[in-house]
Amino acid sequence: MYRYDVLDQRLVDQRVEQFRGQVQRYLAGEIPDDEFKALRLRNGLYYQRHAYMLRVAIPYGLLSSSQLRMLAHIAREYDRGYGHFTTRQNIQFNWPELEDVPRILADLATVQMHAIQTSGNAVRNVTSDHLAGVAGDELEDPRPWCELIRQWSTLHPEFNWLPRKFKIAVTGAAEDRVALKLHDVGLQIVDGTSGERGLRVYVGGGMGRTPVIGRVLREFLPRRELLCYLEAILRVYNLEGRRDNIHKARIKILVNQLGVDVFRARVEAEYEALREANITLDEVEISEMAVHFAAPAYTSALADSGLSSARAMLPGFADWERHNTRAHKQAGYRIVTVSLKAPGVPPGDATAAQMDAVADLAERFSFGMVRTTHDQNLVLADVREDQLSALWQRLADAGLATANVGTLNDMICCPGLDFCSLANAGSIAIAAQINERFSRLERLYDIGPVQLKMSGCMNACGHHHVGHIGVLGVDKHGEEWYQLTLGGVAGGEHVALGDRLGAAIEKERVAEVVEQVLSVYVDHRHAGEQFIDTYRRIGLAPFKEQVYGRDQKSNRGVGSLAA
Amino acid sequence: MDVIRNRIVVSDPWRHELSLPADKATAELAPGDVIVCLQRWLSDWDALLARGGRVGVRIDASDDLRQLIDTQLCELWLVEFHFESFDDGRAYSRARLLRSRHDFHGDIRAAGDVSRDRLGFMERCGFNVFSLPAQANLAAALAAFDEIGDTYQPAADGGASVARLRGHRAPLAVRSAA
Repeated sequence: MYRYDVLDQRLVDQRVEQFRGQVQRYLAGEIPDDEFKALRLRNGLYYQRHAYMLRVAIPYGLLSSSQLRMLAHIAREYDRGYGHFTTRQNIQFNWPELEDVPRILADLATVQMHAIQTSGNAVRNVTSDHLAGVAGDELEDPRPWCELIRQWSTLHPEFNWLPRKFKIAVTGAAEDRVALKLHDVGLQIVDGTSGERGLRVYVGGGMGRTPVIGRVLREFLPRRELLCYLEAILRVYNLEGRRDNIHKARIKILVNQLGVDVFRARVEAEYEALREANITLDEVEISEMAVHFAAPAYTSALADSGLSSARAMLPGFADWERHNTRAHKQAGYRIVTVSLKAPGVPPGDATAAQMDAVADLAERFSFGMVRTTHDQNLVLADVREDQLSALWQRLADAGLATANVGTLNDMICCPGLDFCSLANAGSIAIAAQINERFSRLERLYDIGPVQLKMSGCMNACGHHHVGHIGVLGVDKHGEEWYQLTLGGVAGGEHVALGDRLGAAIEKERVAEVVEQVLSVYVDHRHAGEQFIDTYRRIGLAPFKEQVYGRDQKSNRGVGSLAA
Repeated sequence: MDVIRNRIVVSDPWRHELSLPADKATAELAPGDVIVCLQRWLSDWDALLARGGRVGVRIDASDDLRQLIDTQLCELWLVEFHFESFDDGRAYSRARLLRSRHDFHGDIRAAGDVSRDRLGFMERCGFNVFSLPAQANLAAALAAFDEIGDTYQPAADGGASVARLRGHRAPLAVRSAA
């Protein structure tokens, strides 16, 4: 992983001291509330329903064991003993005191972590493929590019007061696991026609209340020009993006208003004008960065991994292996997903003890590295097959071996009304309701892969637009109701926004309706067909009819939600 | 009133004359160094230059910077960007373009909703004069410039970025006449 040099460390240390001063001056009444809000947001500090919430950056989802232990320490020392892993690969702490935050940041800086630009109208944490470096379908590890972008965007003086937040994702794989077309900018490592390595640039995607699927801005960008091109995009956006309406301020709105061709022409003109040597990357810089992400020292596979006897001897191991591990590009290794979706636990939450346990297990079984995923799990990416069963037992001891990865219960879920001041409705309680109704793993396995994604409001932190089943919390006369969508897909060529199933439903009925939806799938599926494929084949109508009945009008009651 | 100029607190010799030319003729302006609106500079630049005092132009968020670029920039002593609110970031890009791309060597001044915690970013984008609200403690605000010593990206301040300190990337090329 990337290790700070003295320059990186000094900058982060100085940022901590700067923020400490800002907090002191705010508490002394020297900074007005609205301005302090903007300042604290640029350091990841929100004020939520009950208290402050601190979002700590996990750059492109990569953590060392010592960093994860520090997160556990912060959960224990300054919070209520747990943290919440987010859909952007970060972690949130829900209960810090404002006065403690400078100390938390100073603690983080000792392990080369920070909360810089995890919120506010600036370039946010760059996200990446949680299988970077270990997936077989990868052209090149995207993380060196993520780190180059992280550094370039950190405290960028020109782009710290953008019209709105700005999210970048990078992948080097064939399969889109980062939702390239749902980011302000998505970058895909590709080879050009002459064999030169470069990037395909997508722009203008995003979720929120106006979901938009991003478009190709440039088919091929020479890799050395990456920062020049990003600078051009950001400058056009900073100068021309709308600032009069927060809901129209994302770059997707500007791209739509200008049209992608006009937007492209403006970016290209700016790119031509600003190409200068001091922002063009040089090859040495690129290769030095890549060294930081070199593969660990894999050992050759044993003749007998012991897996077949483990499957036979250990009840539950085979299911866990099938669902929570996947193929590694290195023979003799598996990629392990640590499920943070145990029944009865808010999706994505981990206790301090669990974080410590995973940190220890990473050291013992996976080169001391942990990844966070956008679907709110953790990954131990480099586990030897012959050590899988030992790891499984220890994960099970820590409550982290629920064999439900990829199933309905492996759902994405925002903090919802319980924590978030934006939310219209709870999401954690709905997750629990669904978990209870689908408590048998055999049933989940029979249903097969389904991505259920749930947001407590239209800001879509829970990515409901692109869930195979999307659940959106809405406020209806002060009550929590839920709007379902079907058929959303987050990545790849079939990327799609979900179709609205019908009128919002009462809180008590959400799991029941999900069950009805799944029963239609089970009745109609061809052998081996997954939910999303059946949905694509048969369309919305049979699902609608099952839930709302043939005669019932499904659009009554919540007309305002149809827009 | 005092302003910060090149990291020093100095008294401000400039007077704002933001009336439109239609409301007040340029010939009627009192003597001295004046900051005028873009419209007066575009229509009366010759009269402004002939009257003796130095001339500065104020750019509001709604003004079109290209109109200013097309004039005799070298005759201007100062361009002032007015921040209507602290979170309007357009002037950062505009100042950077003015300083770096259009080689403006006069003062670039930040006015309006300007406060200590953004001075470092502004300076890196080419601002060198900062007009803070009357109640601001300018001497204390000077500390803001040194809060973050290293920078990850080149900007209009010409400072060496972290990449350069690591020995990467060619120095900024001298802009050719073409």
